[in-house]
Amino acid sequence: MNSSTQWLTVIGRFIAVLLVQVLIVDRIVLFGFANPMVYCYFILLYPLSGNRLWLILSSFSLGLCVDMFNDTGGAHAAAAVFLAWIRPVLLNFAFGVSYQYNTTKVPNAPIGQQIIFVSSAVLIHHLILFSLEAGSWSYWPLVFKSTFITAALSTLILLSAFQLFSRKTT
Amino acid sequence: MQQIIDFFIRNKNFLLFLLLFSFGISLSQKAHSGLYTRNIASSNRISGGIFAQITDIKSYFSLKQRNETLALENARLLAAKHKIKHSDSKDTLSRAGLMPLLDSSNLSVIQAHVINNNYHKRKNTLTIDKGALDGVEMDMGVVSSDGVLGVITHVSDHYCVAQSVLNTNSRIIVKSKKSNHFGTLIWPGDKVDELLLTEIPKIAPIAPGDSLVTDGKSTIFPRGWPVGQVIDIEDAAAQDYLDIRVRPHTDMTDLYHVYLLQRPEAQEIRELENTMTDEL
Repeated sequence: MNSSTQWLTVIGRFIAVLLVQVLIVDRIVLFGFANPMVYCYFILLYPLSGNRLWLILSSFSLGLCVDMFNDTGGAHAAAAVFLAWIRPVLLNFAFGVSYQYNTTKVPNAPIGQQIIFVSSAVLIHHLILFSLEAGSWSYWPLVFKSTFITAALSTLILLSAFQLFSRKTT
Repeated sequence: MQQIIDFFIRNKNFLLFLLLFSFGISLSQKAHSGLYTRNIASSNRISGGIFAQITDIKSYFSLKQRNETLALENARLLAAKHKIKHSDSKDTLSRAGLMPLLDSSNLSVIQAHVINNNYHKRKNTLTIDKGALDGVEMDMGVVSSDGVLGVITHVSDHYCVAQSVLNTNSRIIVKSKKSNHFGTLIWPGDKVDELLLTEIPKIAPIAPGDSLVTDGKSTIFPRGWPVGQVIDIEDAAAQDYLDIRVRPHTDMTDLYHVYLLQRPEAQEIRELENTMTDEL
Protein backbone atom coordinates (compact mmCIF):
# COMPACT_ATOMS: atom_id res chain seq x y z
CA MET A 1 0.00 0.00 0.00
CA ASN A 2 1.51 3.34 -0.99
CA SER A 3 1.35 6.33 1.28
CA SER A 4 -1.35 8.33 -0.51
CA THR A 5 -3.89 5.50 -0.35
CA GLN A 6 -2.89 5.01 3.26
CA TRP A 7 -3.77 8.64 3.99
CA LEU A 8 -7.07 8.30 2.20
CA THR A 9 -7.85 5.23 4.31
CA VAL A 10 -7.04 7.17 7.49
CA ILE A 11 -9.24 10.15 6.54
CA GLY A 12 -12.07 7.91 5.37
CA ARG A 13 -11.90 5.92 8.58
CA PHE A 14 -11.97 9.13 10.67
CA ILE A 15 -15.22 10.26 9.06
CA ALA A 16 -16.73 6.76 9.03
CA VAL A 17 -16.14 5.99 12.72
CA LEU A 18 -17.37 9.46 13.73
CA LEU A 19 -20.63 9.06 11.82
CA VAL A 20 -21.16 5.47 12.96
CA GLN A 21 -20.55 6.53 16.58
CA VAL A 22 -22.78 9.60 16.76
CA LEU A 23 -25.56 8.50 14.41
CA ILE A 24 -25.93 4.81 15.20
CA VAL A 25 -24.04 3.58 18.25
CA ASP A 26 -24.89 6.56 20.49
CA ARG A 27 -28.53 5.57 20.15
CA ILE A 28 -27.84 2.10 21.53
CA VAL A 29 -27.97 2.10 25.31
CA LEU A 30 -27.97 -1.36 26.89
CA PHE A 31 -29.14 -2.02 30.46
CA GLY A 32 -29.94 1.68 30.74
CA PHE A 33 -26.32 2.85 30.96
CA ALA A 34 -23.97 0.95 28.62
CA ASN A 35 -23.33 2.91 25.44
CA PRO A 36 -20.45 1.26 23.49
CA MET A 37 -17.66 3.44 22.11
CA VAL A 38 -16.58 2.26 18.68
CA TYR A 39 -14.60 5.29 17.56
CA CYS A 40 -11.50 3.80 19.26
CA TYR A 41 -11.34 1.73 16.05
CA PHE A 42 -9.66 4.70 14.38
CA ILE A 43 -7.01 5.10 17.08
CA LEU A 44 -6.28 1.38 17.42
CA LEU A 45 -5.92 0.81 13.67
CA TYR A 46 -4.00 4.00 12.83
CA PRO A 47 -1.07 2.80 10.65
CA LEU A 48 1.74 1.43 12.81
CA SER A 49 4.29 3.22 10.63
CA GLY A 50 2.31 6.48 10.73
CA ASN A 51 3.41 9.71 12.32
CA ARG A 52 2.67 9.74 16.06
CA LEU A 53 2.18 13.50 16.12
CA TRP A 54 -0.66 13.19 13.61
CA LEU A 55 -2.16 10.31 15.56
CA ILE A 56 -2.30 12.46 18.70
CA LEU A 57 -3.74 15.46 16.84
CA SER A 58 -6.33 13.48 14.88
CA SER A 59 -7.43 11.47 17.93
CA PHE A 60 -7.97 14.71 19.82
CA SER A 61 -10.09 16.15 17.02
CA LEU A 62 -12.06 12.91 16.72
CA GLY A 63 -12.78 12.98 20.46
CA LEU A 64 -13.75 16.64 20.32
CA CYS A 65 -16.20 15.94 17.47
CA VAL A 66 -17.82 13.16 19.52
CA ASP A 67 -17.97 15.58 22.48
CA MET A 68 -19.72 18.13 20.32
CA PHE A 69 -22.51 15.69 19.53
CA ASN A 70 -22.78 14.48 23.12
CA ASP A 71 -22.48 17.76 25.04
CA THR A 72 -19.72 16.27 27.18
CA GLY A 73 -17.30 19.21 26.97
CA GLY A 74 -13.93 17.55 26.42
CA ALA A 75 -14.23 14.15 28.10
CA HIS A 76 -14.03 12.15 24.87
CA ALA A 77 -11.21 14.35 23.57
CA ALA A 78 -9.10 13.79 26.71
CA ALA A 79 -9.73 10.03 26.75
CA ALA A 80 -8.99 9.69 23.03
CA VAL A 81 -5.76 11.68 23.17
CA PHE A 82 -4.60 9.62 26.16
CA LEU A 83 -5.28 6.40 24.28
CA ALA A 84 -3.40 7.74 21.25
CA TRP A 85 -0.40 8.59 23.40
CA ILE A 86 -0.32 5.29 25.30
CA ARG A 87 -0.88 3.16 22.17
CA PRO A 88 2.80 2.22 21.57
CA VAL A 89 3.06 0.96 25.14
CA LEU A 90 -0.03 -1.21 24.67
CA LEU A 91 1.23 -2.49 21.30
CA ASN A 92 4.47 -3.51 22.95
CA PHE A 93 2.59 -5.10 25.84
CA ALA A 94 0.28 -7.13 23.60
CA PHE A 95 2.43 -8.03 20.58
CA GLY A 96 5.99 -7.76 21.88
CA VAL A 97 8.65 -5.85 19.96
CA SER A 98 7.71 -7.40 16.62
CA TYR A 99 5.23 -4.62 15.87
CA GLN A 100 8.08 -2.13 15.67
CA TYR A 101 9.48 -3.84 12.61
CA ASN A 102 6.15 -3.38 10.93
CA THR A 103 5.89 -7.09 10.15
CA THR A 104 2.39 -7.51 11.50
CA LYS A 105 -0.97 -5.82 11.30
CA VAL A 106 -3.26 -5.77 14.28
CA PRO A 107 -6.18 -7.69 12.65
CA ASN A 108 -3.73 -10.40 11.42
CA ALA A 109 -2.22 -11.09 14.83
CA PRO A 110 -3.25 -14.13 16.90
CA ILE A 111 -6.66 -13.58 18.44
CA GLY A 112 -5.36 -13.83 22.03
CA GLN A 113 -2.96 -10.92 21.46
CA GLN A 114 -5.72 -8.91 19.79
CA ILE A 115 -7.99 -9.41 22.78
CA ILE A 116 -5.27 -8.22 25.17
CA PHE A 117 -4.53 -5.18 23.03
CA VAL A 118 -8.13 -4.08 22.46
CA SER A 119 -9.44 -4.79 25.96
CA SER A 120 -6.58 -3.00 27.73
CA ALA A 121 -6.90 0.00 25.39
CA VAL A 122 -10.66 0.16 25.79
CA LEU A 123 -10.47 -0.17 29.58
CA ILE A 124 -8.03 2.74 29.89
CA HIS A 125 -10.06 4.87 27.48
CA HIS A 126 -13.39 4.16 29.19
CA LEU A 127 -12.05 4.69 32.69
CA ILE A 128 -10.81 8.19 31.78
CA LEU A 129 -13.94 8.95 29.81
CA PHE A 130 -16.43 7.92 32.49
CA SER A 131 -14.46 9.54 35.33
CA LEU A 132 -14.41 12.86 33.48
CA GLU A 133 -18.00 12.51 32.43
CA ALA A 134 -19.18 11.81 35.99
CA GLY A 135 -17.25 14.88 37.14
CA SER A 136 -17.09 13.88 40.79
CA TRP A 137 -15.57 11.03 42.77
CA SER A 138 -18.84 10.47 44.58
CA TYR A 139 -20.03 8.46 41.56
CA TRP A 140 -17.12 6.00 41.59
CA PRO A 141 -19.21 2.80 41.98
CA LEU A 142 -21.21 3.85 38.95
CA VAL A 143 -18.04 4.83 37.05
CA PHE A 144 -16.48 1.41 37.60
CA LYS A 145 -19.68 -0.43 36.76
CA SER A 146 -20.13 1.42 33.48
CA THR A 147 -16.41 1.17 32.68
CA PHE A 148 -16.27 -2.62 32.94
CA ILE A 149 -19.57 -3.46 31.29
CA THR A 150 -19.24 -0.89 28.51
CA ALA A 151 -15.62 -1.92 27.92
CA ALA A 152 -16.68 -5.55 27.47
CA LEU A 153 -19.26 -4.49 24.89
CA SER A 154 -16.91 -2.12 23.06
CA THR A 155 -14.17 -4.78 22.94
CA LEU A 156 -16.58 -7.30 21.45
CA ILE A 157 -17.77 -4.84 18.81
CA LEU A 158 -14.23 -3.66 17.95
CA LEU A 159 -12.85 -7.21 17.57
CA SER A 160 -15.76 -8.15 15.31
CA ALA A 161 -15.20 -4.98 13.29
CA PHE A 162 -11.51 -5.92 12.88
CA GLN A 163 -12.54 -9.27 11.40
CA LEU A 164 -15.18 -7.73 9.16
CA PHE A 165 -13.47 -4.66 7.75
CA SER A 166 -9.80 -5.46 7.41
CA ARG A 167 -8.12 -6.98 4.41
CA LYS A 168 -6.49 -10.27 5.28
CA THR A 169 -3.75 -9.93 2.68
CA THR A 170 -0.58 -7.86 3.13
CA MET B 1 19.60 27.18 24.26
CA GLN B 2 20.35 24.42 21.78
CA GLN B 3 19.62 21.89 24.50
CA ILE B 4 16.26 23.45 25.27
CA ILE B 5 15.24 23.31 21.62
CA ASP B 6 16.50 19.73 21.41
CA PHE B 7 14.47 18.86 24.46
CA PHE B 8 11.32 20.24 22.86
CA ILE B 9 11.94 18.43 19.58
CA ARG B 10 12.72 15.14 21.31
CA ASN B 11 9.61 15.33 23.49
CA LYS B 12 7.26 16.96 21.02
CA ASN B 13 4.82 14.04 21.12
CA PHE B 14 4.64 14.03 24.87
CA LEU B 15 4.31 17.81 25.13
CA LEU B 16 1.58 17.89 22.50
CA PHE B 17 -0.21 15.07 24.30
CA LEU B 18 0.06 16.86 27.64
CA LEU B 19 -1.25 20.11 26.17
CA LEU B 20 -4.24 18.49 24.46
CA PHE B 21 -5.01 16.19 27.39
CA SER B 22 -5.16 19.07 29.87
CA PHE B 23 -7.18 21.12 27.39
CA GLY B 24 -9.68 18.25 27.12
CA ILE B 25 -9.90 17.89 30.90
CA SER B 26 -10.45 21.61 31.39
CA LEU B 27 -13.20 21.60 28.75
CA SER B 28 -14.95 18.70 30.45
CA GLN B 29 -14.71 20.43 33.83
CA LYS B 30 -16.23 23.55 32.34
CA ALA B 31 -19.07 21.43 30.96
CA HIS B 32 -19.86 20.31 34.50
CA SER B 33 -20.27 23.85 35.73
CA GLY B 34 -22.47 24.57 32.73
CA LEU B 35 -20.19 27.29 31.38
CA TYR B 36 -18.92 25.63 28.25
CA THR B 37 -18.34 27.45 25.03
CA ARG B 38 -21.00 27.57 22.37
CA ASN B 39 -19.15 25.70 19.67
CA ILE B 40 -18.83 22.51 21.67
CA ALA B 41 -22.53 22.37 22.52
CA SER B 42 -24.67 20.21 20.25
CA SER B 43 -26.82 23.23 19.37
CA ASN B 44 -24.29 24.25 16.72
CA ARG B 45 -25.26 24.20 13.07
CA ILE B 46 -23.47 20.97 12.10
CA SER B 47 -24.52 18.60 14.86
CA GLY B 48 -27.91 20.26 15.28
CA GLY B 49 -28.54 19.94 11.55
CA ILE B 50 -27.50 16.29 11.47
CA PHE B 51 -29.64 15.43 14.49
CA ALA B 52 -32.62 17.24 12.95
CA GLN B 53 -32.27 15.27 9.70
CA ILE B 54 -32.03 11.93 11.50
CA THR B 55 -34.99 12.73 13.74
CA ASP B 56 -36.97 13.76 10.69
CA ILE B 57 -36.45 10.32 9.15
CA LYS B 58 -36.90 8.44 12.42
CA SER B 59 -40.13 10.26 13.28
CA TYR B 60 -41.92 8.55 10.37
CA PHE B 61 -41.58 5.22 12.10
CA SER B 62 -43.37 6.34 15.25
CA LEU B 63 -46.03 8.57 13.65
CA LYS B 64 -48.90 6.35 14.70
CA GLN B 65 -47.87 6.20 18.33
CA ARG B 66 -47.14 9.96 18.51
CA ASN B 67 -50.53 10.71 16.97
CA GLU B 68 -52.23 8.55 19.58
CA THR B 69 -50.47 10.48 22.35
CA LEU B 70 -51.41 13.84 20.87
CA ALA B 71 -55.03 12.73 20.35
CA LEU B 72 -55.24 11.65 23.99
CA GLU B 73 -53.83 15.01 25.05
CA ASN B 74 -56.42 16.73 22.87
CA ALA B 75 -59.21 14.71 24.40
CA ARG B 76 -58.10 15.66 27.89
CA LEU B 77 -57.97 19.35 26.99
CA LEU B 78 -61.40 19.20 25.34
CA ALA B 79 -62.91 17.60 28.42
CA ALA B 80 -61.30 20.27 30.60
CA LYS B 81 -62.56 23.05 28.31
CA HIS B 82 -66.05 21.65 28.54
CA LYS B 83 -65.85 21.68 32.33
CA ILE B 84 -64.76 25.33 32.37
CA LYS B 85 -67.73 26.32 30.21
CA HIS B 86 -70.20 24.83 32.63
CA SER B 87 -68.69 25.96 35.86
CA ASP B 88 -66.09 28.60 36.47
CA SER B 89 -65.23 27.98 40.07
CA LYS B 90 -61.52 27.85 40.71
CA ASP B 91 -61.94 24.50 42.40
CA THR B 92 -63.05 22.82 39.17
CA LEU B 93 -60.19 24.40 37.31
CA SER B 94 -57.62 23.08 39.67
CA ARG B 95 -59.18 19.62 39.55
CA ALA B 96 -59.09 19.73 35.76
CA GLY B 97 -55.38 20.52 35.96
CA LEU B 98 -55.83 23.85 34.23
CA MET B 99 -54.69 26.07 37.09
CA PRO B 100 -51.30 26.75 35.46
CA LEU B 101 -53.05 28.13 32.38
CA LEU B 102 -55.21 30.41 34.49
CA ASP B 103 -52.42 31.46 36.78
CA SER B 104 -50.34 33.03 34.05
CA SER B 105 -52.77 33.49 31.22
CA ASN B 106 -50.21 35.03 28.90
CA LEU B 107 -47.62 32.30 29.33
CA SER B 108 -45.75 32.06 26.03
CA VAL B 109 -45.48 28.55 24.62
CA ILE B 110 -43.23 27.39 21.77
CA GLN B 111 -43.94 23.99 20.31
CA ALA B 112 -40.74 22.01 19.54
CA HIS B 113 -39.22 18.58 19.01
CA VAL B 114 -36.42 16.82 20.84
CA ILE B 115 -33.84 15.89 18.22
CA ASN B 116 -31.27 14.34 20.54
CA ASN B 117 -31.91 12.92 23.97
CA ASN B 118 -29.41 11.23 26.24
CA TYR B 119 -30.05 9.62 29.60
CA HIS B 120 -27.13 7.29 30.28
CA LYS B 121 -24.71 9.96 31.49
CA ARG B 122 -24.57 11.96 34.73
CA LYS B 123 -25.01 15.30 32.97
CA ASN B 124 -27.73 14.56 30.46
CA THR B 125 -28.96 17.07 27.90
CA LEU B 126 -31.71 17.43 25.33
CA THR B 127 -31.08 19.02 21.93
CA ILE B 128 -34.17 20.79 20.61
CA ASP B 129 -34.98 22.00 17.08
CA LYS B 130 -35.93 25.60 17.93
CA GLY B 131 -33.47 28.44 18.44
CA ALA B 132 -33.09 32.16 19.03
CA LEU B 133 -34.77 32.95 15.70
CA ASP B 134 -37.89 31.15 16.94
CA GLY B 135 -37.89 33.16 20.16
CA VAL B 136 -36.11 30.68 22.43
CA GLU B 137 -34.20 32.27 25.29
CA MET B 138 -31.96 31.03 28.08
CA ASP B 139 -33.72 29.67 31.19
CA MET B 140 -36.96 28.80 29.48
CA GLY B 141 -38.63 25.68 30.86
CA VAL B 142 -39.01 22.53 28.77
CA VAL B 143 -42.16 20.50 29.50
CA SER B 144 -44.36 17.85 28.00
CA SER B 145 -48.10 17.92 28.58
CA ASP B 146 -47.73 15.69 31.62
CA GLY B 147 -44.39 16.61 33.12
CA VAL B 148 -41.37 18.84 33.53
CA LEU B 149 -38.36 17.86 31.38
CA GLY B 150 -35.60 20.45 31.73
CA VAL B 151 -34.31 24.00 31.42
CA ILE B 152 -32.73 25.70 28.36
CA THR B 153 -29.01 26.34 28.90
CA HIS B 154 -27.65 27.05 25.41
CA VAL B 155 -29.28 28.79 22.48
CA SER B 156 -27.98 29.10 18.92
CA ASP B 157 -29.84 30.57 15.94
CA HIS B 158 -31.72 27.40 15.01
CA TYR B 159 -31.27 24.99 17.91
CA CYS B 160 -31.03 24.93 21.66
CA VAL B 161 -29.74 22.61 24.38
CA ALA B 162 -31.60 21.97 27.60
CA GLN B 163 -30.27 20.58 30.83
CA SER B 164 -32.43 17.50 31.36
CA VAL B 165 -34.15 16.70 34.64
CA LEU B 166 -31.79 13.70 34.53
CA ASN B 167 -28.76 15.90 35.15
CA THR B 168 -26.99 15.99 38.48
CA ASN B 169 -26.91 19.81 38.23
CA SER B 170 -30.68 20.00 37.87
CA ARG B 171 -32.56 21.74 40.72
CA ILE B 172 -36.31 22.22 40.40
CA ILE B 173 -38.49 23.56 43.17
CA VAL B 174 -41.64 21.47 43.51
CA LYS B 175 -44.45 21.17 46.01
CA SER B 176 -47.07 18.65 46.93
CA LYS B 177 -50.36 19.19 45.12
CA LYS B 178 -52.21 19.02 48.45
CA SER B 179 -50.16 21.38 50.57
CA ASN B 180 -47.75 24.26 50.15
CA HIS B 181 -44.65 22.53 51.58
CA PHE B 182 -41.96 22.77 48.95
CA GLY B 183 -38.63 21.08 48.34
CA THR B 184 -35.89 20.73 45.74
CA LEU B 185 -36.08 17.99 43.15
CA ILE B 186 -32.69 16.56 42.20
CA TRP B 187 -31.40 13.52 40.30
CA PRO B 188 -29.19 11.09 42.23
CA GLY B 189 -27.56 10.04 38.94
CA ASP B 190 -28.43 6.40 38.45
CA LYS B 191 -32.00 5.43 37.51
CA VAL B 192 -33.80 7.12 34.60
CA ASP B 193 -37.20 6.77 36.27
CA GLU B 194 -36.34 7.98 39.73
CA LEU B 195 -35.79 11.49 41.08
CA LEU B 196 -35.17 12.57 44.64
CA LEU B 197 -37.12 15.27 46.44
CA THR B 198 -35.15 16.77 49.30
CA GLU B 199 -35.68 19.53 51.85
CA ILE B 200 -39.33 18.67 52.55
CA PRO B 201 -39.77 19.16 56.31
CA LYS B 202 -40.81 16.14 58.35
CA ILE B 203 -44.10 17.69 59.42
CA ALA B 204 -45.34 17.95 55.83
CA PRO B 205 -48.36 15.72 55.19
CA ILE B 206 -47.05 13.66 52.29
CA ALA B 207 -47.66 10.03 51.41
CA PRO B 208 -46.73 7.61 48.62
CA GLY B 209 -49.00 8.17 45.64
CA ASP B 210 -49.20 11.95 46.11
CA SER B 211 -48.80 14.09 43.02
CA LEU B 212 -46.11 16.74 42.85
CA VAL B 213 -46.34 19.97 40.87
CA THR B 214 -44.00 22.88 40.19
CA ASP B 215 -44.00 25.55 42.82
CA GLY B 216 -43.78 28.68 40.73
CA LYS B 217 -41.28 30.33 43.07
CA SER B 218 -38.57 30.09 40.44
CA THR B 219 -38.99 32.12 37.27
CA ILE B 220 -38.64 29.07 35.04
CA PHE B 221 -41.84 27.07 35.42
CA PRO B 222 -45.35 28.38 36.09
CA ARG B 223 -47.08 27.28 39.27
CA GLY B 224 -48.81 23.90 39.24
CA TRP B 225 -47.25 22.15 36.25
CA PRO B 226 -47.28 18.36 36.91
CA VAL B 227 -43.95 16.72 37.76
CA GLY B 228 -44.38 13.22 39.10
CA GLN B 229 -45.62 10.94 41.79
CA VAL B 230 -44.23 10.04 45.21
CA ILE B 231 -43.27 6.37 45.28
CA ASP B 232 -41.41 6.04 48.56
CA ILE B 233 -40.57 8.15 51.60
CA GLU B 234 -37.43 7.66 53.61
CA ASP B 235 -37.52 9.07 57.10
CA ALA B 236 -33.95 9.14 58.45
CA ALA B 237 -33.97 9.85 62.18
CA ALA B 238 -30.86 12.01 62.06
CA GLN B 239 -32.28 14.49 59.57
CA ASP B 240 -34.86 17.24 59.77
CA TYR B 241 -35.95 16.59 56.23
CA LEU B 242 -37.51 13.69 54.40
CA ASP B 243 -35.90 11.96 51.41
CA ILE B 244 -38.67 11.32 48.95
CA ARG B 245 -38.30 9.16 45.87
CA VAL B 246 -40.30 10.44 42.93
CA ARG B 247 -41.29 8.84 39.64
CA PRO B 248 -41.60 11.44 36.85
CA HIS B 249 -44.85 11.25 34.86
CA THR B 250 -42.96 11.42 31.56
CA ASP B 251 -40.82 8.56 30.23
CA MET B 252 -37.53 10.45 29.89
CA THR B 253 -36.17 7.88 27.44
CA ASP B 254 -38.88 8.53 24.85
CA LEU B 255 -39.31 12.24 24.12
CA TYR B 256 -40.44 13.90 20.90
CA HIS B 257 -43.13 16.59 21.17
CA VAL B 258 -42.24 19.15 23.83
CA TYR B 259 -43.21 22.70 24.74
CA LEU B 260 -40.90 25.54 25.73
CA LEU B 261 -42.46 27.85 28.29
CA GLN B 262 -41.64 31.38 29.23
CA ARG B 263 -43.35 33.25 32.01
CA PRO B 264 -43.85 36.81 30.79
CA GLU B 265 -43.11 38.13 34.24
CA ALA B 266 -39.80 36.19 34.45
CA GLN B 267 -37.72 39.10 33.19
CA GLU B 268 -39.27 41.53 35.65
CA ILE B 269 -38.86 39.20 38.63
CA ARG B 270 -35.23 38.56 37.74
CA GLU B 271 -34.47 42.26 37.38
CA LEU B 272 -36.13 42.98 40.69
CA GLU B 273 -34.14 40.25 42.41
CA ASN B 274 -30.92 41.54 40.88
CA THR B 275 -31.49 45.08 42.14
CA MET B 276 -32.12 43.66 45.60
CA THR B 277 -28.82 41.77 45.68
CA ASP B 278 -27.05 44.93 44.46
CA GLU B 279 -28.47 46.93 47.34
CA LEU B 280 -27.47 44.31 49.87
